[in-house]
Amino acid sequence: MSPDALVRMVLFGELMALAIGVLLLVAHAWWWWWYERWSSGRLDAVRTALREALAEGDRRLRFTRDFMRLPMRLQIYLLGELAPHLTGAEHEMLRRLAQQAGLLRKAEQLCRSWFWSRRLFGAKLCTLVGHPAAVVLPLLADRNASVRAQAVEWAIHRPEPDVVAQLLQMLGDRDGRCRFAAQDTLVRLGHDAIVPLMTFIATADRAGLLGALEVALTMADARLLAPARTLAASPHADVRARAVLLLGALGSAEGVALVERALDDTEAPVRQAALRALASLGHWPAAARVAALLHDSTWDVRRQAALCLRALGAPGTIYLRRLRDSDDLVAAAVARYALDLAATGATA
Amino acid sequence: MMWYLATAVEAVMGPVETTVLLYFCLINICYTGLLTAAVFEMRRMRNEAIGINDHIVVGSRLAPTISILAPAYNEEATITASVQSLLTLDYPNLEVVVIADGCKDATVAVLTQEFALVEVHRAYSPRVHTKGVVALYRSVRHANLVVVDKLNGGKADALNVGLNLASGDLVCAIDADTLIERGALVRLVRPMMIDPDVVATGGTIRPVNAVETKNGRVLDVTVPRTLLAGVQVVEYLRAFLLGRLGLNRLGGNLIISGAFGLFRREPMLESGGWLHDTVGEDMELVVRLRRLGYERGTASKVVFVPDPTAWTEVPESWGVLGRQRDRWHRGLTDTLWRHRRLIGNPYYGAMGLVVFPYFVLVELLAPIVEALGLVILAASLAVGLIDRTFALLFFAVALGIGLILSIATLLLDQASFMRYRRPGDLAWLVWWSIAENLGFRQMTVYWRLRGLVKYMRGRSDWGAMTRKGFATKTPVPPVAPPRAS
Repeated sequence: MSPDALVRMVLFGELMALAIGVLLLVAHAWWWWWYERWSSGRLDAVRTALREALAEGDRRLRFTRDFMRLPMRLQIYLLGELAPHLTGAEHEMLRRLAQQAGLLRKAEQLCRSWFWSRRLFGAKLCTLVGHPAAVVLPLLADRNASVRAQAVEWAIHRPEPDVVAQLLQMLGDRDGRCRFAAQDTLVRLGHDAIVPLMTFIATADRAGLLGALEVALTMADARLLAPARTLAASPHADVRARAVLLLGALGSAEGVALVERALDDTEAPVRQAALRALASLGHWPAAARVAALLHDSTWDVRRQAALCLRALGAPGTIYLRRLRDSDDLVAAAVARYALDLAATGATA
Repeated sequence: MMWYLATAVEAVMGPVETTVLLYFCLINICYTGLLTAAVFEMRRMRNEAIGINDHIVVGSRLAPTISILAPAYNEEATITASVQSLLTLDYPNLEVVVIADGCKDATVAVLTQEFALVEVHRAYSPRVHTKGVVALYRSVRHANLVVVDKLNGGKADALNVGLNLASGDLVCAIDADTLIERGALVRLVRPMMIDPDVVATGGTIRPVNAVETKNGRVLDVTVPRTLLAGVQVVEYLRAFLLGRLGLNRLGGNLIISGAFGLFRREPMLESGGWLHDTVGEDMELVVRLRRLGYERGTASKVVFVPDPTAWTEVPESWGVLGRQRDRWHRGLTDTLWRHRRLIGNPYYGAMGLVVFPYFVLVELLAPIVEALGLVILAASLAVGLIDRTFALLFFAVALGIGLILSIATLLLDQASFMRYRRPGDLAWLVWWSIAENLGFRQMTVYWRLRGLVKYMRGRSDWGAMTRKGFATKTPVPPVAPPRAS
């Protein structure tokens, strides 16, 4: 084939590809334009019916009828839009609707799919309507991290001991999405998760322990005091720091004593955590010891000490005023900064 | 005489022609590979997005803290709207640090008045060396707003001051006149929450020209009807959705746009922040972060995320655009030169073996080879070395490939995000895809060549950039001059 013929052939191919590309672009735009017009009216009608149903409680039939008439794609879209904003009886109503519309059966089928994106979609659907299907349970150990994370989110609807145990194991998951989802779900489970969390903390490895302590800190349940006390003596600085923060959130005389002891820790992050804990406790008798940390070797500790003194109220302010004129220029600067912050109401 | 000239030209042109042809094939294979990778990457990201509930991150106390660093220089008319829009972004643990970089107008005074700022003592740890801080302010109304007034030192210096002052786990570098979509931060933070090895993420930048905005929010998206803004819409889409998304799969990105990028703060501080003595500080930083990652044995990944969007104004005058492109190319050249030992170095994995060679061969050398190709074409035609019809056909093939890539990118964008909803807008986008080949593309070759020449001569100026401004302009209230202490 001559170069000229080759170039002509390539050009012809390009023209065909371009024509197909532009055609697809136009077809997609046209389809979207039609679909939006077609769906928006129907969705609006169902939204209005739902608003009335929620307000008056006696027009549920109309809402159900309108919802059932929607195609499955729009039903799912609507569920996704409504579900996060509904709780209690209204959320239960949504679940029943999904069941009547055959969505739950479809979701269960999707959860068994070979394709991860379909399993993800199935688990998402079950999560949205709070469907406690057993078929989602195996997805907690799915090979795909997105599916696992979604199953973790779903687990809020199945607060059973073995499920909670699986969530706790995921606190050390390599994938941050699973870790975050597990932490968030455990926090939302609240009471049901406390005892398993205590048991887990006693046996967990370092990675799991760090995640568990973050959950414990957010929950701040008094029963977590014992493990926090133990972990305040951990050989790992990051674990000690989180344990000290937890002690600060929980309080108690023994806890406060341990926090004060942590002010002398060899690791700066632990000293910093202790200062944060004392600030949240407002433990003013420690003001003198905190003031000493304004001369610490680490900048972050000095700054935190100043902020802690500010949080301790009048006793702390007295120390800050004294330190404002200190020969230690850094201590004087952070003291002035903390005093100035008082005027703004900012905390850091 | 003509015969001798033709023989001489043929002797020179032969090998050069072959090189240009081979380069032409290589560059198009690269682009096709990028497009294929981008399609798969987009599919993966869209599938993963099914499972992500943004409202869970937004409502969680466990979400990492983000400090937005917004450098501002003489922006008294738009700064209030910009800061207000930043303060209302959908993210739970957010701090906004506005850095007034030696403003000569009333930027600081306007901020003081509008946000009830109170001066606080300047106490911070200068872990990255910067020019002096004049004053530090906190807002009485917004506990998460910090304003710094500093001596003028350029954008990199301003960002470094922000980096020193930020308290977040992550820092988001933006331009003060960049408009960030409300939910963009939640989406941008995802890869960092998923993978602790990700040190930086960047979102898509789209031109805001012709887009209707109000109080820092996008109301209506339309395609610009003017040539320069219009072709830049297509150009930006191609750069982000084809280039950066594709590179996610082929060894990672080397660029996170300076107008909208999220970074882990600690690695940033350890690496020394943004460099002052380069005009490509955003690219240089990303390369340095990734390089340090390899050298320290930690996989420092850089991920581009296509759905979070920031809107920025693009130049609409040839002069300003030329200066911008010449600066970008100088920045690229400088970064590649500073880190030249990475090229083809297996120690740096895919970055050294794939991404860096790609940037050198395709991004850096493209204007030289493209200009050479045009010269050869013209010379060969002049001395009758090639048939005129054949030359025209070949030229059409080259343009056709570019056009196919543009249309494919538009399809990818429309199928994924459907930003431009009016059929008329799509027609304009297709038109701008064609029109960019008729003069605009050749001009970018010239500007990039000019950048290369300037770099060789040691020029490192930014060039004056003028903007119309898109943020809602608020009348500047009568304010007292900024305090200096």
